[in-house]
Amino acid sequence: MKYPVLGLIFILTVTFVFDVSVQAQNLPKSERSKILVIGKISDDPKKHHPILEKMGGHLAQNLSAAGIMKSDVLIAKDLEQMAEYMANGRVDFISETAFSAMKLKMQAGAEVILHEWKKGVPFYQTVFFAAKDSGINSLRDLKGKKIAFEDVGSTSGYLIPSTILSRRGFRLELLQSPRGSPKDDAVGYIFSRGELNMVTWVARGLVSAGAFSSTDWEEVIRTPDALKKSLKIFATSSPIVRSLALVRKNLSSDIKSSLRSFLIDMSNNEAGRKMLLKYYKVSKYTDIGSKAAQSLAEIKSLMQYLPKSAAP
Amino acid sequence: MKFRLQTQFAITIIAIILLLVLLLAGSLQFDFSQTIRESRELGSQFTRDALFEQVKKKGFSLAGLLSGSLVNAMYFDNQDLINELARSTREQPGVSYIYIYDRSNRVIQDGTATIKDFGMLLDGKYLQESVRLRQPVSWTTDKILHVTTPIMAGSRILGGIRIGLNLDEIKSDQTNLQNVLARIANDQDTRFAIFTSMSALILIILGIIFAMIAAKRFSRPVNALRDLTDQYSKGNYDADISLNRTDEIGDLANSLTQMAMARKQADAESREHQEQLAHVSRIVTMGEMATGIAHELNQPLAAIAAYIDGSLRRLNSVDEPPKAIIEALEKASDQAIRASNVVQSLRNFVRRHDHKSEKLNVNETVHTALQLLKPDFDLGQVVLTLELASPSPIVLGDSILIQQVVLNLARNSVEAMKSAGSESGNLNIKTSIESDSVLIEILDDGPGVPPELRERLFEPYFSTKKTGLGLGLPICRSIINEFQGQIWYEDPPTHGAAFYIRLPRIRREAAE
Repeated sequence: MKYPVLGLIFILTVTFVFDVSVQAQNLPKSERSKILVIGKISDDPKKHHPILEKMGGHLAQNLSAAGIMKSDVLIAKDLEQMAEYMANGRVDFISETAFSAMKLKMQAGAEVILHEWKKGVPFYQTVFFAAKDSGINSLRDLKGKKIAFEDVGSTSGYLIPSTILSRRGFRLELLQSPRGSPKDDAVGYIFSRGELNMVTWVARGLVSAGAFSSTDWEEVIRTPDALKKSLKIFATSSPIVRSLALVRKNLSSDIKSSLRSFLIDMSNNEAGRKMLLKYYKVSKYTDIGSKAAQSLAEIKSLMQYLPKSAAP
Repeated sequence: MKFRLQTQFAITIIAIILLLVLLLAGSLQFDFSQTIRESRELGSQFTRDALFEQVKKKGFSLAGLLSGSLVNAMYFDNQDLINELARSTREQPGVSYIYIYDRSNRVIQDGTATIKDFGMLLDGKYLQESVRLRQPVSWTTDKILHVTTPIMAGSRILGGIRIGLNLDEIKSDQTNLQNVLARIANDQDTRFAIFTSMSALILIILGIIFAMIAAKRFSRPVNALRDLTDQYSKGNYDADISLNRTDEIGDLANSLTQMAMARKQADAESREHQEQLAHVSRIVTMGEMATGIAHELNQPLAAIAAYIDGSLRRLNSVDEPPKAIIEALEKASDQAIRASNVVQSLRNFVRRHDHKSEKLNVNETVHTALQLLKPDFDLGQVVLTLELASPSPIVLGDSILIQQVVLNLARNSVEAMKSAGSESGNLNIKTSIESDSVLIEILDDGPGVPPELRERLFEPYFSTKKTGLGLGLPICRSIINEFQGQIWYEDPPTHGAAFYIRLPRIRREAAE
């Protein structure tokens, strides 16, 4: 090698970058406490890793007073894995929707620290919709019919509507295709894997109803006007908190307190707002108010109705 | 071989044009061939580079695509997906090998069913470079282009991909393309050669036409000059050409015309001189003849005079001499004597003799000279008035020559007065003494000499008479000058002509 010193420095740099996450897990406790690990549940680390790195970096940069020197990212492929990570202290901070947050709280002892607003929306609802000429006017009319949910991890598009229907006493029957038929005493459901799919299926009569968030209903790209005019909302859920910020159990109170304060303060300055916008279009963080607490209580009550196959 | 100027000029221009066209065409052809050759080489190089770049892009594209697709699989260690992607990449045309390796640069998938290179440690140098540059890095060994790129989730390096692409295809494509380029270049070269040849041919034809026109145009004035000089050489000095040129040719034509005019004038003058010479020759001959005639006439005239004298003596010896016959015979005798005198004067006048300078009586000389004009005076055509100095002045000279001068001037006056058409004229000849010189004046009341001709009166060959030689007055001047005298013309107070002769006077006492 022509430049041995430079080469060595380079190798060391690369090696450091390579192993940072590994080191975060294997470091002594004193060293580990200097690293803030931000987590995410996703099967697409390629998409989310850069976003989380930026947010983690920003947080680490501003939490030095609490002893944070750097950040790391750890993505779990599902809620179970994330619960494990948080329980084992491998992830410090995470943003999650209400159902997932409640599950992490229950399984991993995660602590909800802030109410997370997205796109300026603190709460949303699940809307049940059907074709105007379908004859479906209430949830009761769904018996023996098919309803489309979004996907198994969607709070407003699956967990809320499915638990609402279960709590109403409907037996839910998973169908393999939209052309399948449920038994007369059950409500057949199918995952559409996307809002537009769901709206199209309902409008074309492939399924009798669909359920997703009220924000999706208002977005033209998800619910085009041409389809929307033939549809109607026949039921809505109670307000659901949009998103929550959680930290793992046993996180240093200094760090937790500093993190909480910093997150609340981020929306008060331009740099913070820009970073929040990049971080999944978060508008701001606020304390858990009574309405949010009530929403969480509702979620908690619904959780007992979760189908066993559903794993938020 | 003799060529006309036009032909020479045309051949010269054609030769120059031919040379230039051939040089130009040759130069163009050479330049074009050179350009084509360079283009071919550049094209070949460009093709090689382009093909290599194409393969490189393909490698980068494959590596980039695969690394992006492998992020999630590598993140969650999904070996099935990694293997599937590796195998599908391995099957791509031109892909020599593929290695997907972990963070320790050890192969975890190679696209083969058995993962035959599993665990093989790869050189991490290029991976590190790729991480540093944040883009794929390539290098070549033998016939393989190697491309490596890291697999990263954000800034986290999960491993890497190394793909080998076969460069043999490039060489094959390059050879094919080179052959195509060579064929195109040859075609272009041939086409350009044909184009150049045709252009050269057209230029040569145009050049020949131009040369012929130019040669004709150039030689036209020269030919005209030649024709002009031909005409001049034949003596036709009135020949003319209208070139209307202001250049050297025009100047030459003007010079030739002026020369011809001068020559024409010189010829005319020469002819005139020849005529005058012939006239002089005839006069001389006539003079010589006159001498002979005078000699021949003198004898019979003397005999006639003698017979008449004899007859008169016989008639006077009778008692009653017939007066009328005697008077007639006396008149015949007088006329015979007169004729003898005339002949003798003529003989004396024309007789060739050496000039001599002797004392002579001016009045006698005048009388003797006027003897030859006596018939004119007798016929009353001219009234002669003599006002002669007394005593007669004496000068130094040749009496014959001085007579010749007086006779010449008097005859000019008589002829001038006759030609004026008047019934009679007056000729007045005076002699007078002026201290050391003698003045002879010959005055008439004829038409006189026009003012514009007076200056030229004594020029040789100048004459106002049609048959005049123009030598009379110049000879008179030369004779008078020979004897240190002067001769001139002055306007008379009224009209007519007035000639004056002044000769040095010899005083009588000196003469005696």
